[in-house]
Amino acid sequence: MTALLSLRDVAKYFEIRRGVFERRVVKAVDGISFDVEEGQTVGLVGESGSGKSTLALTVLRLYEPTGGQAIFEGVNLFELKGRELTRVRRKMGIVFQDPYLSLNPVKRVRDIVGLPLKVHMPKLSFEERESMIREMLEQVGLKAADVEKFPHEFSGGQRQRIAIARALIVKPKFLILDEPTSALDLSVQAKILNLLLDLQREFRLTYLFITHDMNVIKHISDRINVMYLGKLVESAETEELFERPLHPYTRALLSSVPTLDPRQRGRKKMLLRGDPPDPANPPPGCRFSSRCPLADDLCRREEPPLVQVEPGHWVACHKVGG
Amino acid sequence: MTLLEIRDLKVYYYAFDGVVKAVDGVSLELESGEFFGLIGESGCGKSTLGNAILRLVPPPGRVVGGSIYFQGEDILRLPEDRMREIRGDRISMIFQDPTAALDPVYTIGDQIVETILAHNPEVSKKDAEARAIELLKLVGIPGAEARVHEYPHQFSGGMRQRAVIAIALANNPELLIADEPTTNLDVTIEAQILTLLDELRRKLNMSILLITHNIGIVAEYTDRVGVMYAGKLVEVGRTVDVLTDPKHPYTQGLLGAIPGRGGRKGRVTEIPGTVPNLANPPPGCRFHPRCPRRFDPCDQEEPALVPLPGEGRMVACHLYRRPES
Ligand SMILES: Nc1ncnc2c1ncn2[C@@H]1O[C@H](COP(=O)(O)OP(=O)(O)OP(=O)(O)O)[C@@H](O)[C@H]1O
Ligand SMILES: Nc1ncnc2c1ncn2[C@@H]1O[C@H](COP(=O)(O)OP(=O)(O)O)[C@@H](O)[C@H]1O
Ligand code: SF4
Ligand code: SF4
Ligand SMILES: [Mg+2]
Ligand SMILES: [Mg+2]
Repeated sequence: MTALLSLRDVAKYFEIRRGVFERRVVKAVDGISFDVEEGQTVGLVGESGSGKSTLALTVLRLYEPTGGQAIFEGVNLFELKGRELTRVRRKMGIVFQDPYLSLNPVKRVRDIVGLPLKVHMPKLSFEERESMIREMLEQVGLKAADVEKFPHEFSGGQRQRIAIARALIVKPKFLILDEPTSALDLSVQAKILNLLLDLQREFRLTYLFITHDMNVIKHISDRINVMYLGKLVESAETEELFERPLHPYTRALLSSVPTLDPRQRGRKKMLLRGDPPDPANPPPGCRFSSRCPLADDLCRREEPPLVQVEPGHWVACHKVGG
Repeated sequence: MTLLEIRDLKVYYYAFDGVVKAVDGVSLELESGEFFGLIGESGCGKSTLGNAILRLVPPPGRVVGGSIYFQGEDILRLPEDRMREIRGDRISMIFQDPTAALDPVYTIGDQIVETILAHNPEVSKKDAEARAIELLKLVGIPGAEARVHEYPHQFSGGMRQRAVIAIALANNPELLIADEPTTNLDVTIEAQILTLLDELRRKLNMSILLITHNIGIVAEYTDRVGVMYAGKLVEVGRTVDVLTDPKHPYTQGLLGAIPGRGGRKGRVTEIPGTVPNLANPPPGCRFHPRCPRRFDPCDQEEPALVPLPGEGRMVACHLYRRPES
């Protein structure tokens, strides 16, 4: 198998100013490396503020990277400029969480879904464009006649279909899905997940799927990467991660997920103490040390490197592996 | 012992484009000390029901029928000043967004003190302040003595929700209504907060009515559960019974739609169609246009919520009606 996308030490820092003198740096993404194999779905989980969306937007060059490389089909996205960048971007799409905010309310579906065509295939005639839009709407389970409508005429699930149609209209190979079902009800979520699975099979798409819902990620991903405060703390195949979580944060995360079986609720949960630290002022050493039940002096002094403890299973913790 | 008895409650919103029947004939009993979960998809009337218990349905909404007995007294018929005594004292409520529930210009401590004094004018300010610190400790805020003087923006999201819980518990309520109290929080924090609520419920012997759309939370924490669909209560029972052996086709559909149970990357079971518009709900059983098991009477006769064998199990579906005698 080949990696469609390889991230190497990707970093994105934000400088925030508070008043005239105070300047602080938030290391929202701080040296992330992982591969996304062609045709697979790679899941990205982590609590809010852990840097998932920042990573997605940096990879797509919607944020200027602070450092690292993102190799897509052998080309480093972070070195591309102008026309070259536009050409590669056509192969990548993104769908955001909120189907209410991500669609321009004053534009008709035709213009929303057709916008990427205007950018990437400006020579198409109106008729050609129109037929591609209508066909795409049917692919995502809407009606061709919906081109005339405005976003407010659709339910949340239907709006998410519009967003998916917009992302897929230029036939990308790679799609980043940033919490695409988090704002949806269960029965609507089921439909969107099925649609994404069908589209992946049909167009051989590669997905980077961001979510904080462990049931969803377990269902849809081949591999899972776990982030905590800008760092990758664990990476493994889905079954391996759920059966043998090794990083203390992953273990707490999995044990916090409510069981769906009320008969199992007596089981012991690993509850974390305290709150996530201020991202602008993370603890020294391991960033999880302020909440980790196993933390010791070494943890508070030295940052643990990400090491491979089993084939394909990577963990960043002093207490695991070597 | 029954703490709260809702009988045939109807709450309608008189919107300009029609009458939205958000709660349309719901009957439900809450026992004292129990943890009750109310689930259902967005817009089915959960929050409207919760708000109605405190008589806080916002206009154009109005309670148009039914009664709510709280310890034997119909609170829908109490004068507003009596209701104000109950609200925040014997029944209190927490919402999804803790930031909105806190006043940014007062310290956390002042807000707790105010809640105590509003209902207990005889308590001294000093005693109320001591109680505020005690409450912050109770909800697990470290350094409560110092934190009591801080403002909401100095608290993290999880801590703000704890502070809101502290305010809600200030007067030892008999009933706490929690409307999606952890929806904006991460799972590790959510588990902390819900475990805390469960412990406090036992310690203080209060009942909790938890409104959520997260079935996992219901499975993990509640004793009994009610399932709402389109303004109606369609199934009630002990959580173990309902979640392991759902009777109503809608409950069955909801449980089937949870991903991650079957084979990975397999299809997730869908419920066909979409939720109806409550200004114009379907006749008969409101679920019938989407129900895989509908039969003859479903599109005409409305099924009543009737008891089934098993402790406190009730379902509103023609599949379970008893043969006519
Ligand atoms: N102020 C209002 N005016 C008109 N209709 C309203 C108003 N508030 C709620 N409704 C309608 O009443 C119905 C029930 O709403 P409610 O907020 O109780 O649902 P809910 O089950 O709490 O949903 P959610 O899970 O999204 O919080 C919905 O159809 C909603 O659109
Ligand atoms: N445009 C921005 N300016 C400053 N800080 C930001 C910006 N976007 C995100 N951050 C900060 O970066 C961190 C990671 O945020 P984000 O990538 O949105 O996390 P996630 O998607 O995992 O919830 C947070 O501390 C957030 O506050
Ligand atoms: S390195 Fe130390 S603090 Fe960090 S996760 Fe491992 S044990 Fe916990
Ligand atoms: S009453 Fe009929 S339509 Fe309604 S849930 Fe039961 S079988 Fe389905
Ligand atoms: Mg995000
Ligand atoms: Mg609600």
